[in-house]
Amino acid sequence: MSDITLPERLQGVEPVRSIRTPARLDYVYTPGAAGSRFLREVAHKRLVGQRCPVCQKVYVPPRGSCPTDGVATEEEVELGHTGTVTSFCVVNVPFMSNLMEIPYVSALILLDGSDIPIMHLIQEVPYDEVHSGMRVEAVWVPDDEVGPTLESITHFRPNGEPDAPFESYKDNV
Amino acid sequence: MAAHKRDVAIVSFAQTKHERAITEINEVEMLMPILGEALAGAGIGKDRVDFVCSGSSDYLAGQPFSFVMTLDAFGPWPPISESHVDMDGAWAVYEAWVKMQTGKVDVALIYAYGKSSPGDIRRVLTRQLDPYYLQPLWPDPIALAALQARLGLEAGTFTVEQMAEVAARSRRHAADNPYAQVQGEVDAAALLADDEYLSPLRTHDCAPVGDGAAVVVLAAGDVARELSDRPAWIRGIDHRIEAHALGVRDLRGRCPPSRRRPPPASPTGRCTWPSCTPRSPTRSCCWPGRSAWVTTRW
Repeated sequence: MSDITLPERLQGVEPVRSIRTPARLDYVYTPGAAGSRFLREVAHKRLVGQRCPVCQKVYVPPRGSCPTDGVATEEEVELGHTGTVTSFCVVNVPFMSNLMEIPYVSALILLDGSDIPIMHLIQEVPYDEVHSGMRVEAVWVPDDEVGPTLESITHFRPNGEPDAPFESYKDNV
Repeated sequence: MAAHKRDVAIVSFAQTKHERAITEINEVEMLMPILGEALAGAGIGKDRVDFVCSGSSDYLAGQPFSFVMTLDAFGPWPPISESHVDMDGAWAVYEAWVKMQTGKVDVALIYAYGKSSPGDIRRVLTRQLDPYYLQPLWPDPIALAALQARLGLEAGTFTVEQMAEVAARSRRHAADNPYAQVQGEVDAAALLADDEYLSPLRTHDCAPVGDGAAVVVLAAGDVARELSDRPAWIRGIDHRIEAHALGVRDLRGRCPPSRRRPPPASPTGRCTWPSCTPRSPTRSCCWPGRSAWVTTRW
């Protein structure tokens, strides 16, 4: 390939090395029938999953289908507000800018009665004491602030129970 | 024109009603019933499916990798052979058809879905343009179609009456499909009584904004004859695509001479491209502009 010769008036001009083209798109999210049921129950401080009629697993938050069997999950199952930490990570990067003081712990929590963990924060315990198998409970926002959002739970905290045996959550690690 | 190796047929089909906005259910809930319906139509369970291919666009959903979550509607367990195209369902069918030519796949299930309603579709679709020179200008597809239509009208390639006739014909063709969003007997002249929406386009010239999903089951050779009394054999696949840069397209609808091909065969000898209004019955050219295209026929 031959060299490109610029017109004289462009010679010596600083080349454009990058451009910025910011874009923003807004969407209306549809949680769907199953997700809407779940969120409406959250507004009443209830955590409700759905059970697969084939494999009997309970999913939370439910998406209306069993991802293994591809069938509708219609039976609703009310879950406890307690659960077991299956896995966790200590966050040392300020992803959420000033909202969270680092380090903080983000964890997968297997709610009692469910078969798939949800992600949430673990607080009210030193970050280096969080561990798999730790029993935790949900801490809700004040009653007049509870709404159809998972932010109605501010975080989970240890509930003082002894650690759950590995057997009880081995399918979720 | 490479000869195909295996006959492939559609043995089952299902679709949702297509509506302006489906806001009560999510994509998985939208797909699940018609996946079951299409499998039942072929008289098979998902264990008979050798390959699953889906077509959708994450830009419509506004969620990266949304198509992975949508697999929940099929239930990909035990692990399946699966692919996705960030394209429409026809392109997903084409990928499956090619895969079936290899002989490794006898039954393929293809689904396509999309909700255009969650975002401002005219803004969302600007993102398909090149990111340096066009995206920053946010030219939406209706504006681009209007520019093209203006060129065609000024050049005498077609008339507003012919454009209205395309819309009227499409509505007539959809008249017996209860799932179609826009349908019915309508006179082209009546359509022209409407005001212009984005000059020179009227509403009938623009694709409706719709939500919906569709599923087909493909089968090869004797498997197709086993699964269906009346398989619909795929006799040809025609795919056309435009150059990315708008400036290099021939927007007036003329195929470059070196690429001119006979139109897909039809009993009338006319081009079978659905939106084609040939300038003469024998002319092998389509409307709107198709500057680069490939035809596979046999």
